[in-house]
Amino acid sequence: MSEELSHSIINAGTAPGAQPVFDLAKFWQEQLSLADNFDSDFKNHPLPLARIKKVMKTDQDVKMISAEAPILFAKGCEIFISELTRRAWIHAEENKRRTLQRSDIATAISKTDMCDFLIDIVPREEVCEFIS
Amino acid sequence: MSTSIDDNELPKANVTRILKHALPASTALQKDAKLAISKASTVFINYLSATANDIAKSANHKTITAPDVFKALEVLELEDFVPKLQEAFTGTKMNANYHISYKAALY
Repeated sequence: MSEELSHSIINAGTAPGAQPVFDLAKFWQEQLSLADNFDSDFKNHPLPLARIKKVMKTDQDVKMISAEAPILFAKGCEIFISELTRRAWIHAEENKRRTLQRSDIATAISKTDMCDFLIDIVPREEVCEFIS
Repeated sequence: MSTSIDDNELPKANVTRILKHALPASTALQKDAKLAISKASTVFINYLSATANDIAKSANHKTITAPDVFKALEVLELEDFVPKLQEAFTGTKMNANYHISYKAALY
């Protein structure tokens, strides 16, 4: 059904022999193949872009943000979380535990040079104000 | 500072899901651990956007663009993130362009 329908839509209004501006048949073919190849699970949502933008704006210096930036940040955060978790997991395994604890994360942060900016966020001691 | 770290947290469910994917199955997660990672990612966003903002300023444009963010990652010695990010980014960008050109073709 789609072949005949799409052909009649394409050819309507165009002079004989003229190139159709928008190839509807091709579009539907591509959509079908995209749908067939779609393998990602629907539960894997990216982080909410509006929330990310709000966090970026807590810095008074930051005024305008392009649309692509929060998308990059979402993926970057995802990679960051995975990386930090894996490093922390190494410590948990070293102590023969199956539970990832805050101390593991704190150790991972202190051992990673690039995570210097997080040193005060996850203190190694018991008491931290932000939890209570 | 008008807002502190605690005011804007990423949704716990999303963060926990990413956490679980990075760990082997049947791992328990301490409650404090989830909170710590959540705070850490908020600070990560702040840190990266402050750096990207500085780069944008030094290049004389007011808007933080995608190249600014990539440059910021290199500055912060987070180059390991760059390949995966590039790949994910060109994926979404292609989808966005597809929608735009499809809509343009309708009119």
